[in-house]
Amino acid sequence: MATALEEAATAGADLGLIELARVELYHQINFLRDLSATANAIADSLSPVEDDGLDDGFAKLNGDLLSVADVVAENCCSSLESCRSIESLMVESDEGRRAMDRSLQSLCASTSGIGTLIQNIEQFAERTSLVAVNARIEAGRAGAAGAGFAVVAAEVSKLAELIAKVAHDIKASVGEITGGADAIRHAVEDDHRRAAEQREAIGSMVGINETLLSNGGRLPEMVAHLDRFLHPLEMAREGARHNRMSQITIRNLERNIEGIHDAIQKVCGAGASGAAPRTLDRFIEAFAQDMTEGREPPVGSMIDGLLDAGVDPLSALDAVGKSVQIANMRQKHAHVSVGDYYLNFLAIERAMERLSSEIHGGGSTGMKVVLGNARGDYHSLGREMVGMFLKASGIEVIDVGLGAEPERFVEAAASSGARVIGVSSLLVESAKQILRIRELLDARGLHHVKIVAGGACFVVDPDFSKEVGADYAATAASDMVGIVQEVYRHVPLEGRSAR
Amino acid sequence: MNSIERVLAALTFGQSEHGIPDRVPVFPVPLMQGAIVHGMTVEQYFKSPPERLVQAQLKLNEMLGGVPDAVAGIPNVIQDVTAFGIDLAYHYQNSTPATSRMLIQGFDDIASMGRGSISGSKELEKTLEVIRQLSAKVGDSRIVIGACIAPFSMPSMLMGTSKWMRLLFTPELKRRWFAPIIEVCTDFCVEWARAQHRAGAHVVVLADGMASSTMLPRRCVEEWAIPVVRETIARIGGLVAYEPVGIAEPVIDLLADVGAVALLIGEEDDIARCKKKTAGRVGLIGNINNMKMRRWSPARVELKAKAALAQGMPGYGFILANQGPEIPFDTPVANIAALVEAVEKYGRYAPRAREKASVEREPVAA
Repeated sequence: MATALEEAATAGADLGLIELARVELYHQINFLRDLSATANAIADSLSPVEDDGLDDGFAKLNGDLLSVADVVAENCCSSLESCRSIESLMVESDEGRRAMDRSLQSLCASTSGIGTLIQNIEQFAERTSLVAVNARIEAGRAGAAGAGFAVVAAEVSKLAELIAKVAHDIKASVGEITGGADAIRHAVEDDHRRAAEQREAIGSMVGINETLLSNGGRLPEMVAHLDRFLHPLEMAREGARHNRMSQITIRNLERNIEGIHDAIQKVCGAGASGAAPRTLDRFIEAFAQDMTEGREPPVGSMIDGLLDAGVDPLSALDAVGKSVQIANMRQKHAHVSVGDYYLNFLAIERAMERLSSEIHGGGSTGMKVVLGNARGDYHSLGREMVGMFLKASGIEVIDVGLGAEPERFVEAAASSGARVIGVSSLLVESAKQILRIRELLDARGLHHVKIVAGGACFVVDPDFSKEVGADYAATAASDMVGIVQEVYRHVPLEGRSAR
Repeated sequence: MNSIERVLAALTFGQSEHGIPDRVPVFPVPLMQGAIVHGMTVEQYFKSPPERLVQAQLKLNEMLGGVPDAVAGIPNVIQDVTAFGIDLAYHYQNSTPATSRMLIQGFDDIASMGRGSISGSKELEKTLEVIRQLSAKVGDSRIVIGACIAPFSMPSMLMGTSKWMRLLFTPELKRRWFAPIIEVCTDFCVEWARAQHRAGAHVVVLADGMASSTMLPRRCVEEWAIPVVRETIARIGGLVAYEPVGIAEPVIDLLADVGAVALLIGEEDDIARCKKKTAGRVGLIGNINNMKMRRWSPARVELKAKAALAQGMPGYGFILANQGPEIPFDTPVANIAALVEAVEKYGRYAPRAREKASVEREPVAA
């Protein structure tokens, strides 16, 4: 019986935990509802772009964006369904808990009956004692006449009846107690089974919640992903304007840009501050404008402003990168000097210095580039600027430095898994080292690694890059980011693509 | 009309005593191709005695039909760093050398850097000898060209372009170090250019790779480079052609008044617009793409040259050339010949125009 009570107590403790878990579950469900609504908002906010001159790359970009939104929505719905099943299990668990409570009350009542029986037995003992005393007295008198024993016998008989009744009652009570204990045991067993199921369910819930939390944690990443689409869209819009494409195309692009802005705002609104995206927009525009017009932006104070507005450091850095790309793009439409790019380089460098203490890892796109000056080339400026632009765009740079031998480029690509090698060269003979790099790559089966040629001789004659076996020519420091993104997003790993 | 007369007539826009030029002068810059003449590598050629370089330049002129109006007395301009005690390094047999090290590792090194000395460099001493011998050989029949790195660009050779840009674009560094290093580099440049003039160079090209629109925004060229260029040319005293190495057009109005006799413009510069912007204040030299010349056919080189002449000829003041700095080593000689021959085919001024110009000039002369 004691064991049954201990088990009951343990079950009660488990139930308390389950209750806590259930409360937590409701929070998760609410979170999921928000997440799902946000994902749907993202999907709804996008308008399809009509195919009237946009290239395949942009169409794919737009498709990718819709896919991301779909994945978010699907994930959230699936998670919600799982959580709802868990919730119904918990309701069943409540029924079990109430049944067990009833059993426990019954057990307590039975225990109370046993107390009464004990009192009866005590009375029986007292009466038996009195009978024994009277029997001895009457026996003393019996010498004269033994008639008094008849009375004693009668009393003893009554006691026997009483004992028989008590024995019956005790037997009945014990039966009830046993039954009650059994009921409790069964109830406890049922509850344990349910508790096990619930624990399993909770385990699943934890798993699902981890996924959900991961999704929730991925939310900023998804926002950043959306954000990354934003910049190419803005580039496409600028390009469309520059190339005087149709107004329909430009309007569609603008609608998509606005859609993403809204979606990002909604996502951020579901989490932290809804003001952050607008702050970032203002920052990007002001920063880009300063650089476009050849003014050095007040990097420190501008970034402090972002951080004060609640923008996380990685987003701030990302915004700097985007500003520079926009500035580079705008400048490219006019005449732009190396010095203009250098101002951008300094702005990024200062921003990174300012944010370095705030950022601990992360922020990488997973894209990698090996960068270096070819053998015999010691003009580091271009390489340094390209490297900084890449880093600001979340692209990892493996810098093999000045005058690097072809083997060094290839080894670095092989060991890092980089899919792009950038070779900078001012002079013709140094540039021809790219031929050797291609040979070495092919010999190692690294056909998927693309070579980008940069430096003065390719600026003067971009077609020289074909002669030396490069896949792309970067004629400005800002070109490299776009080329790397294209390789990683659109060039298949197998074989070499068309130039 | 010999080359000297032709060049003077061109660069004075027909206002010299020689009247207007008979044709557009042509200055191809085949510095490394001398190695082909001698059947040796560029490294061997550059390291060979002065006589070899002189022979090669004269032979190249002959190979090109004697049409080029200039011969080059310098093998390259990178050698200027040897005046500061830096050796040259040849990473390839057939390419220009590079500096073997950076003189200035940290900005503090500027305070203790040497002044630069011609006599301390066997390369520069040899170049002076080449100029002397060339000058003696060609007399007034050809222009002898010298060259040196301009003071605004020399720091990039001594500390690296990246460090020089950081100094220029970081106000506190610029305040502290710009004047001291520019002073050293200007002093050396003036001394070196004067030495070349004294040795017989008719004109010295001031190569300023950092001062073009390719490298700097206009306001930086105007505020930082132009005053240095103007002072340097004034101090040199002799004829100077200024080469901003890259795109010149956005700043050509500024460059027109630095005191140079001619400006070397880049392949991207529009000759007609540049002529309009300079408005007869300075002659123009250019601007066939030297990198593309490597792989063009001779016919295409000829067409490009023809197009350049069509823009540059009117009003005189134009010399046909490849864009700077030099013709790459692996450029077919036939392509260089096509460039040169174009002036004979398409670069001649009509005799009647010459006579008319002469008549119009008489009252001025009187």
